[in-house]
Amino acid sequence: VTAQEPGSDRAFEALFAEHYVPLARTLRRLLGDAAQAEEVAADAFSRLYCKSPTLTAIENPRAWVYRTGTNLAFDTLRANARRERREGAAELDLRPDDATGDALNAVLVDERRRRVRAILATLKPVHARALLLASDGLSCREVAVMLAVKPDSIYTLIARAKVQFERAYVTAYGRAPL
Amino acid sequence: MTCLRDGELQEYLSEPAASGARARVETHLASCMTCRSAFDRLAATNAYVDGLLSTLVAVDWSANTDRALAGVRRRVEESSRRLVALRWWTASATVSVLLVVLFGLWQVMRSDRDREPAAIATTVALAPSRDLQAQTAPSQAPNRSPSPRQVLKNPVILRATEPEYTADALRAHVEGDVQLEAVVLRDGTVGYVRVTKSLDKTRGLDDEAIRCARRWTFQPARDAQDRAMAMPVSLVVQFRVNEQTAAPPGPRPFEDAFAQGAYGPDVTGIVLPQLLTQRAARYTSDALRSRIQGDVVVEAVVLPDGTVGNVRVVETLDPVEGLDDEAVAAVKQWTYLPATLNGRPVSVLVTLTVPFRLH
Repeated sequence: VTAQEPGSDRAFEALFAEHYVPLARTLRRLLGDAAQAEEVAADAFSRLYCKSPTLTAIENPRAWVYRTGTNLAFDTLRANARRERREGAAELDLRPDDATGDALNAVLVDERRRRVRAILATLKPVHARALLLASDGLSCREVAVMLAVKPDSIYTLIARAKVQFERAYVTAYGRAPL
Repeated sequence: MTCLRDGELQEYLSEPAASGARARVETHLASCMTCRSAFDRLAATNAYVDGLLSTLVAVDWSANTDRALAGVRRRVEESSRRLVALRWWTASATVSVLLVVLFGLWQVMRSDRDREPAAIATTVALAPSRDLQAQTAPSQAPNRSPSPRQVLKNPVILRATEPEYTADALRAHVEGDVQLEAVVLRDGTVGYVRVTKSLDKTRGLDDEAIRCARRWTFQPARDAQDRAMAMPVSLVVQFRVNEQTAAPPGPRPFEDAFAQGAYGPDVTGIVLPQLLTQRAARYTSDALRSRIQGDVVVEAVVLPDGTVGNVRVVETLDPVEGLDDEAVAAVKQWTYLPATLNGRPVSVLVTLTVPFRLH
């Protein structure tokens, strides 16, 4: 039984086994926090189960759970931003690679991550989702499948998403050198 | 030659090797400066955005899928429990609200049914007011040309709601008239109202008169062309206490001809009258000769002013020789400190014994 054979409870389990980790990893990139990413991914799958335990009521469960998961992650991102504004400085989101540079570079990289997340949160959800998945190493056609978008349209969607992202980023922070 | 679309340029940028129309794109870009410029711009955007997004690098991280699945199942169970609880709570709240609303409606209907006016308050006069026309505030006055229009028909009251006595005014037994000046608007409603002769400023009767007048509706005044027009009028609202129904709640007084309006001595809260002056009953000569002795028991109505009203014999001693009549005549001359109920003097029916003794 696999995720492509809906109609039983095991279809859900198969879908979960196949997509929980990739989804949580994508959300981890977006949120910068492993615990929050797991929480949000689990929330997305629990909503999917509540909506249709046997996955028969949803046309494309995989796209549904990715869409719901990224929407929840963007909500969490906005809530995090509000909390950080309220409580002051947030913890640095440092990666193992960052430790190789000096401390100033680590802070700058962390700041850039925050800006990228903030701009993603302001985009149209479908644009933000497409950019996130495309930057995750998936091909455009794979992104189209994940987002349930027509293959012919995915390139146009990604091109527009990138233009929107660049425009929003430059407007908010200026064109900083990479 | 058709120019390239953004999607085609992006496809060529993202996956040039897989691009189905690679040759066509390259040929076109070589010959079309517009598309070449767009391609360069898009390529720069791709490089910039990809560079920024690359900061969100993936980390080497994995999760325990079984533990996560168990967590999801736990979430689903909790969600189901919450949903059931929410449905029960919603149903309970709905039923409770419904019951409260029904109870409230029942109370309102019952109070309306049992309610009797405690006062008579009516409008008795309706006349055009010249003063108000000049004194009405500009914001309240109808906005029209300054030339006065000839009034053909005065306003006529269509519906006048009865004002109600305030508790304080009823307790103080305030009676009288409140004179008002009001503007009857073209739609028949009352606009501006003010008191021109006050009855009671402290116990709320003036305010009650204004409040009621604002809810009245009129057939508006009409000019010579039969057009509705706003018009100031004078109104008088009368407040009269209705003695029958303004009485304090509790047992009702007697309604028979003998003791009409009087309370029984056993009414809760009543303070019985106290005898102030008493005239002794006299023997008649016939009764004295017959040596009649005993008691005449009578019922008497002690009025709110302390005098005795109707008297009747309930246990006779001598209907022939005149002792019963003598007892009644004597009792009618007695005076009392009147009975009170809730602080107000009231009539009360008392039973008295008039003794006749030979010494």
